[in-house]
Amino acid sequence: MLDFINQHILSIIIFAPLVGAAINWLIGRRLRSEAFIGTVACTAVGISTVFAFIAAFRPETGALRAEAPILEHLWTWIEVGTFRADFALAMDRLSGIYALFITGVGLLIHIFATGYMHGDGGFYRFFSYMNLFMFMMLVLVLGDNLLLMFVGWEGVGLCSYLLIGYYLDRDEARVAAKKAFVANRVGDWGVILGVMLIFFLTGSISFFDKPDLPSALRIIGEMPIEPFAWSALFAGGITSAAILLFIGATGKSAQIPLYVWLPDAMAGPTPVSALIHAATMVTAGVYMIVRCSPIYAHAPTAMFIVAVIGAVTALFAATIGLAQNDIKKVLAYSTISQIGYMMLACGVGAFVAAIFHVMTHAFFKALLFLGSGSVIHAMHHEQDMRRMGGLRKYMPITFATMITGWLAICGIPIFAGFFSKDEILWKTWSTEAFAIPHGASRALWTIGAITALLTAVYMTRLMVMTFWGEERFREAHAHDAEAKPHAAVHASAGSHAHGEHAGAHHHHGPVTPHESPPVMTIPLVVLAVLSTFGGLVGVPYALSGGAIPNYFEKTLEPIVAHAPTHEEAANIEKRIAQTVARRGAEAPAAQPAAHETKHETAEHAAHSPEEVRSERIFSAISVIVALVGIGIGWSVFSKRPLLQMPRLLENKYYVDEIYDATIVRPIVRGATEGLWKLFDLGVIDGTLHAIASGVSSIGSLARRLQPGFVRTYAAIMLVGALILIGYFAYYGVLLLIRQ
Amino acid sequence: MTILIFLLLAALTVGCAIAMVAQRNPLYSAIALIGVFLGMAGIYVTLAAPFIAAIQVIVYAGAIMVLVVFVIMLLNVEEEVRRPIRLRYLIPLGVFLAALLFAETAFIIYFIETSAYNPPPATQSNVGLTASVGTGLFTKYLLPFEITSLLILMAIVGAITLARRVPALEVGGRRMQAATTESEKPSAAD
Amino acid sequence: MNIYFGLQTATQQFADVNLWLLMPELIVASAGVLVMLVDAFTKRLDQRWLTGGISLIGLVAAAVSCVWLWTSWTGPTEAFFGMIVLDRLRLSFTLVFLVVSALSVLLSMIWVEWERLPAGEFHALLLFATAGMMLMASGGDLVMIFLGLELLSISTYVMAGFRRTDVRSNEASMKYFILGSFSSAFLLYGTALVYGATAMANGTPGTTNIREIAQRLDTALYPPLLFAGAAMLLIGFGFKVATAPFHVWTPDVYEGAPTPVTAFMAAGPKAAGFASFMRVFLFGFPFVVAAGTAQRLHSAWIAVLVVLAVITMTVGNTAAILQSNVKRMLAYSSIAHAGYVLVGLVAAGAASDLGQRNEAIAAVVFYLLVYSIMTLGAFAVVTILARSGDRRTEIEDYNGIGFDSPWLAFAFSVSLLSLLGVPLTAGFMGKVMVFSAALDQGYVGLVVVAVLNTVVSAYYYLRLIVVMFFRERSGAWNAPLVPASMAIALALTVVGIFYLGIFPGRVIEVFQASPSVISRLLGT
Repeated sequence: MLDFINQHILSIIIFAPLVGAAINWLIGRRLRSEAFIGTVACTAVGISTVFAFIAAFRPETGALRAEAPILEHLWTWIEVGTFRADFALAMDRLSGIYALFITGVGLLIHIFATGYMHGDGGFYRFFSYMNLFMFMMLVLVLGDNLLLMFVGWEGVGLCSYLLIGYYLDRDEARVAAKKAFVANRVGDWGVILGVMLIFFLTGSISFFDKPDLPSALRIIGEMPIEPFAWSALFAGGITSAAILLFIGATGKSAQIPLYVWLPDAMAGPTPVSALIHAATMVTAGVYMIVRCSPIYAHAPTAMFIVAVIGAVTALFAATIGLAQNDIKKVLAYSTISQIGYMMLACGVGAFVAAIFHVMTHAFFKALLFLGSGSVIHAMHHEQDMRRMGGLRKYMPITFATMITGWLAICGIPIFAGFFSKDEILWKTWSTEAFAIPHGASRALWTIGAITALLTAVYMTRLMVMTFWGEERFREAHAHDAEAKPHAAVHASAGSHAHGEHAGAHHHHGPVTPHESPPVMTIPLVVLAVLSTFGGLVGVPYALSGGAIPNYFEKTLEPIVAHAPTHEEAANIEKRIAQTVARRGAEAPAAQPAAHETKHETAEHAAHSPEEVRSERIFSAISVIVALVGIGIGWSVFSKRPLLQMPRLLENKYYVDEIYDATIVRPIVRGATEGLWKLFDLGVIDGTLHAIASGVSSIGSLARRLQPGFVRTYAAIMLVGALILIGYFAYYGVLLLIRQ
Repeated sequence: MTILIFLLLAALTVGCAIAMVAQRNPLYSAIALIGVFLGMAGIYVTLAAPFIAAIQVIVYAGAIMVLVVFVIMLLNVEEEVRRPIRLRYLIPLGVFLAALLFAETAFIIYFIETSAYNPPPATQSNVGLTASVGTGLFTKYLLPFEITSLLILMAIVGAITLARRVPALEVGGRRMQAATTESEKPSAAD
Repeated sequence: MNIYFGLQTATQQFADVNLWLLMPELIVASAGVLVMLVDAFTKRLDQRWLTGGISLIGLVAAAVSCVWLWTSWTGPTEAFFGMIVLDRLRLSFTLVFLVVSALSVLLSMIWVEWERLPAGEFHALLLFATAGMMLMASGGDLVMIFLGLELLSISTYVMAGFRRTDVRSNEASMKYFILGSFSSAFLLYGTALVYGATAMANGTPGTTNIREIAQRLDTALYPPLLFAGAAMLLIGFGFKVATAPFHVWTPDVYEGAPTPVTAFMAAGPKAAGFASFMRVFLFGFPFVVAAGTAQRLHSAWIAVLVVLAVITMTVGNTAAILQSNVKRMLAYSSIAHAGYVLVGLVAAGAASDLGQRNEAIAAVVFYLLVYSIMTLGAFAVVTILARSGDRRTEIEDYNGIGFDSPWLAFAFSVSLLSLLGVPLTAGFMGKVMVFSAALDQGYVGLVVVAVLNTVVSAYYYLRLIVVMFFRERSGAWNAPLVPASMAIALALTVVGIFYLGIFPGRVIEVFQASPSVISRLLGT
């Protein structure tokens, strides 16, 4: 038994939630017992959590302790010629960290959701989807090759789609679900092509070396670094692969230009927003980039683009977040902005810092979302902050925990967000990466710092509008019967056959908010503790002076690639030039040597006294920025919480409208007016129009029986045939002439 | 001499083909089709394939066309009424496509005629003779011959199925009929 | 074994008869005749079970004989003077056809009764069509392929018009018949031209045998005729598999034909068309290194197919987006899938290496198997939901059925997701196989277009899922009863989709295990 568990520990981690989903879908549906469904779902995730911790920390072979990853080969999935994809799982240090916080935070959110979704008619459905999501997310991070990662990648997209559209009776939910999937499909196209290109370049798609299968990442790691040039993007080399993968990442991780789906995705239930759209799925893009860090390290152009997109997204989303009134929308834009930070970190070569921020962000953003969920729950599905205020009296625990989340995201020392964000900003300033031109790092840092300021401002605004000030919910409900999501839910709940929401919250008129039940507040408290102390695993050397070892960096550093610095890139170029001059006899030997020197130089650079001093100065600047931001937010919004924000920001720079006008509508028009007539002649005669307008179809059928169409079809076929024959004949005659 | 005969037969064939399409009375069309078959049979004769020519006359011009004419007369098909032509743009398109096809064919033939290849010497070919057709049918082409019988059997089944008058199922169908009407409630869409 | 050899030697000198090699086809055709006889001499009571059962037994027996041929297979073999060949291509395609037909029988068993149609004739026609498809895969001669195609086509014309009281069904049948005859003419004319072109200078007449054609390409007397003939063959097969611009018949015919027939048409004849397409073009006009007519011809058809693949995928997917009728949408989807298969066909054609070619062929066969299963699954649900007379096939008719018929909606969603190519479903595996084969041959651009097209296709497949699960129902609606035979068919397709998506290894291995007939052809 123990042996079995030891050998299949990763399978247990991923399949437990799948079993939970199946049980809830098949049995829970009939039982309709919330206790049963909740227990099954939470137990399934709990099992994953426990085994993830065992797999990560068990002595000797634990993924976070040992050098070698835990590999688990289930079966060979595809084997076509040289193309081989295993259905195999692997947990190394990177995926170990991911698996830990996915299962841990996931478990807390599941527990929270049993309280939040109480009384919902689709309880079983919700938890099956959630468990299925956990399965897919774990496949994504524990898959040992690109293709299996892509399985998870698509799977989480599908689950997120199902969960965003969970409230069937809301139009906005349906539209949001569709938008999410379309944006993600655009990104997926990049991932598929990227994977194919990587296979094309290396002949492998595996992440890890196996006896009969080399690792694609190692092969790329041994290739020469591509030049920093725009032409490399289209050259079909490593840079192209990197940028294709990044297109996928912009879809999944909601970066410019594909970020538009994430704010709308807030139409789903709040635990979903916390789990999928804050803590786990949206950081999959960061995971992929860090996992493929050798690819990015060899593609400086791609890294530069990643950094710029990340920084711009961070700033852009933060400004929009400043002007939103829906509490979840603010958090959504905040998420986009924070992921922008992570991308920035990846772009400047600080892969470890990116993952560190992913982890702390998972803690505090899950906390903030669940806190907002608790508020929304208390306000009976009211999400507009203009109708809140003064809630701290009514919900002390939620308030206290939200405070820690707020301080964490603002970057106040000790709280988790401080260390990770500070590290990203410092690494941005001090980066030596070849990918970042010398002046650019300063500019990127400035953008990051401004974003930090704005983050503090809008988060303070959120806290002030929600928890302080006068109580605006009473008059709001009395005056405004058309409170939008609230009313929509109730209006349709009555007529809805499935009884979604029916009987959930039938309160009308003025409401008195109440503190949420313990199943909801306990996860909040745990997450608050994590948001407070979770950052201590990665205290930088400069701040601790070596007193607290930087566990996080020590764990991750060995497995991520080191982005070449300007100096190294120059050296390598020189060396390549030399080896070419020497007819390349020693070229393979020269390459690994360059790699070995890198780590040493990096170590030395990080801990030199002047570096430590300037890193401390920058930490101080970060703290000051955060405090100033909080100060601005407090002074402006505590007096006038309903201050009208600039229209441009409130309307999100009109990006949705611009996309609609420039992309969506032309496609629709072109399709309906151009393609329709070109390709679908049978329809011109109006059959479908007739049916659509409810006309009896006999008349249109009679018209359709006119022999004209067959003639038209024959004419089209004949045109095609003549072109083909002409081409072939011409080709054949050319042949004759040449002879 | 051969060329003269060929031109005559070809003119008969093409002329009849055009007449067949152009005629509005189906009976005239059928008769024009017989003309096409006869012209082609003549061409087969000039190509030293008397058996094929005979088969062409007996089976097509004889049996099949007689059947067609019978059917036309039994059904008493009227002369086709002149209807306004829909999809008018197809006519110039059709003319253009025909010209294109003709051009392509001419192109190919021209290059074959002017190519360096010489046609094979006019040897005594036995292709198309009764004996060779017979041998072929029972040796090399035995299987296709047998498959053709299957094809014809299937075609008969299909023709009868489509032409049979009564909707067949009576027993067993009633039960299902009841079941379907029961589950079919008129909906708003209907 | 003695009987076997005895039979063989006695008849060989006359007609090269080897009935063992023809076993699966014989069994299916005999089952068809048997169904007709039984139908004629029994009372019409529960007739569908009888004829359907006989059909199923016949198909299973054919599959058994096919497997027997496979296991006792020692290499490419021919019979009837090259009319029939036995190789991997034939055997793997035969299995695909048998799967398609068996599922079609299951789909149509209850349906014929719902529609009050003669079950015996329907099943007989279905079996004859199957025999035709099998001959298209096993024919080693253009004559055989043409006969198989006609056998298939004519029975399909009749089946398309089987619901005689329905004007749409008649219309579909008529359109299919006229355009199908038009394309058959191309095929036949192409055969004639190739025959004429392959005549030899010493007076030997031309040939229609595919192996001999391949050998005579470079010494062909009239290369332009050969090119024109190849073009016409391509047009003929292009019609059968519905590549643009020869796809124009598909939407109307698929929409008008009774849904179980549409299901069969979308899966079977398309796969059969590809079987012959590959047989003729891969083996008849194969890749050669030496410059000359053969090499020219090869590069010409590859170039044409690349263009056709791109047009076909794009037209299919973009037009599918606009449809409001589910059958019509699936028709365009089937066109798009023909485009994906063409990508694999291009890869197989361009492969200079024998091993790679066999892998590409196996990829195409696998894709067609997968495609047939998922398309049949989708159409099975459409059949059930359409009710008698195919009345509910608009997309609005699917509003909100997801929670009243969860299993039907689930099966439909699985089929659609597989058609879309979501990982862990068979469709994904099929695409991976076909696209990786094309990548191996360096067709990066083609694969990029194909992947872009799958992105586009997400829109219309998901729209149906959205409609089923995320929309409220308009109008009254009762969950339909799912008869046992349909339930079995649906369960088989769902299991098949997941099995082929998660454990595809074994099936792929079977399809590509040993060299096909081409190895010997190129070796000589």
